[in-house]
Amino acid sequence: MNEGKTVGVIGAGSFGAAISNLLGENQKVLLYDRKKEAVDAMNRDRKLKGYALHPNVTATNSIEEITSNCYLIFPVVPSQSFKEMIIDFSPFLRPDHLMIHATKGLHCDFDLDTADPKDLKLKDIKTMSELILQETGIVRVGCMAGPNLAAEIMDKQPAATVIASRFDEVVREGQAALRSERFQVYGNRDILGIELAGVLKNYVAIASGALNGLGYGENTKALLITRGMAEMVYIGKSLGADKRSFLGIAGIGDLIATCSSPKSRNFTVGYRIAKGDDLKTILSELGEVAEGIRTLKIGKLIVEHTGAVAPLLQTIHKVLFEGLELERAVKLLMRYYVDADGEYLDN
Amino acid sequence: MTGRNYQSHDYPLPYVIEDIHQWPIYKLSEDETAFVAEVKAESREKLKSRFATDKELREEIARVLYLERIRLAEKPWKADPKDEYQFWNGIKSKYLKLAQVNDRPEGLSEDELLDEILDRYLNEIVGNFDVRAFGFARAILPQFFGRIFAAAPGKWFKTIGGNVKTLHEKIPITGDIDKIRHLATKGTIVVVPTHFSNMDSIMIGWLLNELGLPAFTYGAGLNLFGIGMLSFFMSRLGAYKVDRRKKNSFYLEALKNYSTIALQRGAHSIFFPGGTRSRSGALETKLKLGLLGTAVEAQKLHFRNYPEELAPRIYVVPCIINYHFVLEAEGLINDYLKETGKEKFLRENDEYSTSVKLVRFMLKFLSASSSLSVSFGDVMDVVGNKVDEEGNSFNHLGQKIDVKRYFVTNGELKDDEQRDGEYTHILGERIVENYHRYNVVLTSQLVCFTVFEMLKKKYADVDIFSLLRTPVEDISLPYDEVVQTISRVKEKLKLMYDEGEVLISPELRWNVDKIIDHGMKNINLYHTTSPLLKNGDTMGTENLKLLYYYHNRLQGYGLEKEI
Repeated sequence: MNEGKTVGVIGAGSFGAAISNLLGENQKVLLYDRKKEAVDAMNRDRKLKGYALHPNVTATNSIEEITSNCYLIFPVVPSQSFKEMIIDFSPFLRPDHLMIHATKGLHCDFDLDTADPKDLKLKDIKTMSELILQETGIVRVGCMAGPNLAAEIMDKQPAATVIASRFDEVVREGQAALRSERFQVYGNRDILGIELAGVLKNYVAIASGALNGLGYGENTKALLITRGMAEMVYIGKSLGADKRSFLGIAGIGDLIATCSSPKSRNFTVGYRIAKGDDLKTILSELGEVAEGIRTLKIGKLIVEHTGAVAPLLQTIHKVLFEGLELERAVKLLMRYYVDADGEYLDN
Repeated sequence: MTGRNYQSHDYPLPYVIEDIHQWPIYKLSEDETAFVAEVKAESREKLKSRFATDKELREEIARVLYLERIRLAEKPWKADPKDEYQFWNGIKSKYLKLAQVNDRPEGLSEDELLDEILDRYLNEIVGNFDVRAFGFARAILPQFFGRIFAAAPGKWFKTIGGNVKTLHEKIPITGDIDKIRHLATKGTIVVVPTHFSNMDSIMIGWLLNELGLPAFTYGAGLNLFGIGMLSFFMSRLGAYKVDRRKKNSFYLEALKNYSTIALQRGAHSIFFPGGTRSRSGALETKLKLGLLGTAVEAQKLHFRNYPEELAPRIYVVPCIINYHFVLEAEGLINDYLKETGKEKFLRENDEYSTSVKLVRFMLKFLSASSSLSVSFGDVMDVVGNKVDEEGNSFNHLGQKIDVKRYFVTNGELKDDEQRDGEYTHILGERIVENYHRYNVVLTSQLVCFTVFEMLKKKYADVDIFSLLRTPVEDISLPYDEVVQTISRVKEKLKLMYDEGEVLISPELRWNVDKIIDHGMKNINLYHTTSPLLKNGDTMGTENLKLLYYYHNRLQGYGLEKEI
């Protein structure tokens, strides 16, 4: 137990709950949610999303309570609402706050549905850590990513994550706060690589769900995962990330978990598409956001801008938004010219 | 916009601290013995914690010894002390005795060798400040430098003994001088200039004096101390010696602590963060952060040693010096091309090895030079936040920032080298941004840039090295096209100026014919082969490498698109 220490969590979704409970094992936790009723309910029922909250976790709707009590804060907010959240917090944040976000999504400063790739500048697309740096006076920023399905963490199954930051101190502080007998925490300095790994795996997971929905088995899935990772490496490198980041827990690790788990929202989207459901219906029924949809749209813009090789991304985009039939998409991909294996490790 | 236009000051401005004996650098010099002892103690402590056991320290001594013997054999300099071999041989024989752990002589220890080496280094590094030498330099330098700012070339000899004051008024300095002057009385100023010429350090030292600031200390290349006259002045005007050949841990630790503690004692300092002069002629984009890191370290120590409100502050001010031509251009660009051509061994440049060469260099500089411009960028704290008149920091969002908090974790001030290294990195990025934003584009640079880019486009199928080997007789561009293209680049620069992305010299508002004339006149003044040539209705060059060198100054602005 880290005596006298309190850490903050922003965002009371299922992953926010999971992180709060992990953190609760080591210290006191303040969990922020905007809505007063939700906060009162959490504190009264000691429950969130059907899971029991750790006794060390207290919910609050006061930004100031979090920022004045916690030097270490974990935002876990969907990428869509991240900017709004961070702007609300900004006046209360100072350079001695450390922030480790766990949001696996990208931000963009333009309307995703109408943007023309020709008008796009890469600086309009931001990772969450870049958004934090832009909108606050915080400098010591990190991210956490890995195969961390909320439900399994709530079940207290063994798992691991990666914390990445330019600052070793952020990694150390994050490890001290999160580590436990059932939760390993690795460190990495390539924050961009780890953020991208967490983000890009989303669309591969959609593809995995779709293949599963078509009734394909393990051979196809293994092919998808390996080539999906190759594609993530290409896109990552085109943006300046280190390829090694994609070969660790947050890259291939997270990819295997999300591509195999029917519990993942992105997987579910793909699965139901294969079963003939309509995208709008699926999204409205899912309730929580599937980051994969945004990732696909932003990813397509990035790829068209940087020229990174990404046939998988392009094809899934066509299936979801341009009316390409799924079976035909699979055929197209299987016809794609392939050469050497493992080539993505070359420079 | 504050600080973006030339301010009409009556230079030299009165000193912000009238009594020279109250200047930090004077006090530092008066207290030299204690100062050096403090530097030594600090370096010793840090090295001893890094090499914690006798065995580790012994192995490090062996490494230092090894590196020093290579240096002695491969890169001897005139400035090296006569007894250099003797000294290191002495250390070697002591080390050999030390290495026989079970049979070492009484009293001989790793610590003793560490002390001996540190004493040697610090004795070499330490600089001095002598009021009389300063007074002499102050009387003499305006005679030299006043000339440089006079508009028309060739009048140097008339200037000597002439009316110096009117020349002072002509110094084209951009920047918030009043703020810098005020903050120099409240905290410690670190000026970080661009580095294109060996004249830079003398030039900047003189300029800061014109601004009425107390004398600055700065690290000067040890090789320059091999020149009698220069050495005499530099070692009395606050310069300390930096030997870029010595890259061993003991030396670097001593040098860093020297700078850190000088800053802590309030000595205003100049760091050339580019390390050496820009070889390519381009503005620095990657900085050597070693000495810059000492500013971060000194600020952190202030927060540690003083109660909250009283902690002295360190302010970083980028400075961009812009010459129409650089005397060493030819040698520099050749070095650069060799370097990029992957030539393995680069000769350590030592072009001013004698007083005669130096005097010749100075005379050329003074008799040939035309106007130049100097601009100061944003005054920043050590993490790169802008600072207001009163020294308060504001982040990019305009939020007032308490700098101490950068060094605090969970309510406590913490030491963390890696963290501070990242802060230095961030500061370096801000400095580079400032170099580009406050760079004053001169006519000669605009013309060289445009002409070379047009050539690159014309010879798009060859690489840069082949292009540079093209016979100059074959190089020719229609004058009209050059005019049109310059006009486009110029308009773009004006837009960028309005956006605050760059500064432009007043001449850039002239019409293009006049710009070309002005640029050519200034740049061709010195070089025996002209970088720019006009033959009737075509333009060419006599020296492609020089053209390339001056063109490089405008790289990084995305101006290529206008060609």
